[in-house]
Amino acid sequence: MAAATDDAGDSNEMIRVVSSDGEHFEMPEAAANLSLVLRHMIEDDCADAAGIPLAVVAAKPLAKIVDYCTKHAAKSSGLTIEEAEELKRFDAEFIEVDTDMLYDLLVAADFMGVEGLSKLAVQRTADLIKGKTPEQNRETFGIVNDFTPEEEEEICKENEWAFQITKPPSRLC
Amino acid sequence: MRTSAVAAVDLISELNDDVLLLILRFLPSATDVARTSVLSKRWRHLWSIAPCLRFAVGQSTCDISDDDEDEDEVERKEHGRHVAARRLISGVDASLARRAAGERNDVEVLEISFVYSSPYDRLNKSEFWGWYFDAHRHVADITSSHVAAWLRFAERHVKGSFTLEVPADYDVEGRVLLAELPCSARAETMRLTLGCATLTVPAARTDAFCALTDFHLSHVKLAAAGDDELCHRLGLLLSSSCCPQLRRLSLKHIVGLTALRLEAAVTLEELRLVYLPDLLQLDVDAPGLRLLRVDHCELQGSVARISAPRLEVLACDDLMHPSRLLFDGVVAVRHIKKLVLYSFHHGQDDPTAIWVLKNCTAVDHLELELMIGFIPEYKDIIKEVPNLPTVTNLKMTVCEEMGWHTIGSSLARLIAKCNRIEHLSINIKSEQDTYDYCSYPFCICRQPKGWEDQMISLEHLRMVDICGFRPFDDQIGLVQLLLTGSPALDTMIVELDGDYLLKSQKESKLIDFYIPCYEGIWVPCAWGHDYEDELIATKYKWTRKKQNRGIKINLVWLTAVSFFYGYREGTGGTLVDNRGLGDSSGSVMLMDDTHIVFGGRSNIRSTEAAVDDANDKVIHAHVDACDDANDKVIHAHVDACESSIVTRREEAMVELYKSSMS
Repeated sequence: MAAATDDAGDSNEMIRVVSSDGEHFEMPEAAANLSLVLRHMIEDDCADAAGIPLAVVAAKPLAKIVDYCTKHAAKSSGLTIEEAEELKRFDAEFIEVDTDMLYDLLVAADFMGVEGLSKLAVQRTADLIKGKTPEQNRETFGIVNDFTPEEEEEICKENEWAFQITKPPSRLC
Repeated sequence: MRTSAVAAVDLISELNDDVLLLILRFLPSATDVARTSVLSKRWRHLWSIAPCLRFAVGQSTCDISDDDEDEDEVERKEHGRHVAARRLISGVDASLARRAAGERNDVEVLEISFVYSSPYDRLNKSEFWGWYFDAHRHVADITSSHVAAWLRFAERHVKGSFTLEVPADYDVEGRVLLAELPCSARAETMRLTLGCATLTVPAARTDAFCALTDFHLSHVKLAAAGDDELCHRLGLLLSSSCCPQLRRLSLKHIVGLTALRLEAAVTLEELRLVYLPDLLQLDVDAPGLRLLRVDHCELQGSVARISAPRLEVLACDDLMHPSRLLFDGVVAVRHIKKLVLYSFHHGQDDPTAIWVLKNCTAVDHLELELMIGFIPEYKDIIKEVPNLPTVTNLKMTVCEEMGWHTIGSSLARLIAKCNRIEHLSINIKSEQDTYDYCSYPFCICRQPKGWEDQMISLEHLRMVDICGFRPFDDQIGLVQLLLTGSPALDTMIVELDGDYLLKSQKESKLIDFYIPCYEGIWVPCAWGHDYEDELIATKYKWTRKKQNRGIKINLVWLTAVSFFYGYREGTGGTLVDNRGLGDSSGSVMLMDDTHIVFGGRSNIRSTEAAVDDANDKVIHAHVDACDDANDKVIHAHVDACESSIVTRREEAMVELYKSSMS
């Protein structure tokens, strides 16, 4: 597949990126510009036919990020209410992922400086945590409790108010 | 992929502190954040440096409709909430003390709210301090020393936004709550609701609030009410020397604020003064002010000098008497967001509202609250309203004290003064039960004779929206007047009053009224149920008939029986009406853009139908000729008009008899 860099209009230009595991992806320049890192590379003329290598982003999350940026770049400014709603729906569906992918997206969005996606992934993670007991959260994220029972008890005591729950506060339901 | 899938390997803990803290920042409550400290050693220290702490008692559980609940159950719930709130009080104390003693003790956002949040207006404002829908039993547990500690923490450690909400203690006797206004050079937003605490104000010092952009203070008493020194200090603290960046200032529910002198920074854009019952003197210099709200302040005896040359939006129920008011900037106002006008006035002078209307000569957006009273010896105020040729957008809330049937005539007189309006919106609030028709012997009607014969000319009026409509003579008269006097009108929406619908339903009364179509068509656009659980229209929309868009269509005429049992099953068209068709019962079914099926008894010679189709279109059908012997329509015309009113396709119906033959 030939890189479509010979087009005239800047906005139509396709940017190639390469995942850590060597897979190639393409997205419009406007989409790539949503990533701070890619934008700087493009500005510094580092975007060539070989593609920009992204050392810490694997193909799986990169495919999603390309998706995200392409969708958001196409609808960046002057949104109508319907378009904004549609974008919101897209985001909601987009972020319905398992915890492994969520982790990949958190790392990749942070690394690539895609602010909107970072926020989306962080919000999603927070939504998974909120209103749950520590035990439930450990289970969701596979966190291993490395405290001794005594240590654990001590921490709970420090923040006694947060652990005694008669019923979950209604705003968390 | 489902998210409930459990992670086999702990990846999240490998994220760096910045990302994890960002996650904690997005957690809605400090409880959630505190609980992460016990997850594992990796998470242990994050709670002590989390950037945002939000402590809140949470949502109101008060359900207004839930009257029948068992008292023991209510008591049990209340008790549970009280225990939880008390625990939160000690939680806030413990957390802030621990944080203050730590190393990274700055907080970007600190919110402490002991007021239950509610989708409803959580504080009913009918009384000065207001009252809550929920019992706030923990009011008595919050002491001056708690408040002092929280304010002190905020003063020292909050660098972004600080909110403290202590519920008002209107039902706790003999309780004294004291507080001192905190000063912070780093806070950007401060919202203090201080539970009717007696407030002391520190002496002003330069840059006391040098980063502050938003300040809200409510529910306080100034110590030693009427103490000029305190009022003076508060004014100074909020002036440009101490608050050089302030953009929004709001002072609400403050007792003892007798004088306010504000030399605002040029950045100040919005000033709200609400429920300041003791305010006698107001002196405001605000060169950049764009919005001023002065509401519920009982200002008739007060003196004011206001200089706000860039003012755009004004909202007030009342202002000082014009002879005691110097208001530079009133001519710049474009939008009057609230102004209360009583239709009758005691005394010789005009009320301040008239002064405002006369002096705001650039207003294009006017929102009036009209209170209609009727006392023969009082002065008729609507007569004093000047012509308002700059107004293009008129919004009125109207309330009639008794069922005098004067809403129509009063509004017509007011609307006639705004002859260049383009948008008109009327919200009728009828509080009294009243007779529908003036022909009833007991009607206390005060309708002026023949008012509906007047002509009002509203050449630019394009859109009218009326809600709270009751089909009484005067209100119908107003609608007719608007339809005949507005040649450019293209849409009018009339929504029936909910209480009226309910009452008719209870009394098993048929809602039946008639408004001519003039040059358009009425189509129902929202639905409810009547006493027999039949669908009835609750909202009607009038649109002007579009000319020259007639297309010929084919119509099939069927009897009601064959329509329901035969035709409908087999064809898959959209049923658009199954009620009235002229004087007979029958149905209309839309097959596609060019086919309409009429079903019904055959005594209709010629009729018109307005049909909503699935594509949000109104098709106006006119049956020219039909073959009675064979129950068939021979020829019909359809005008296709564009509109977007169909929200529920299955329920879209046609009001045939209403649109037939104006």
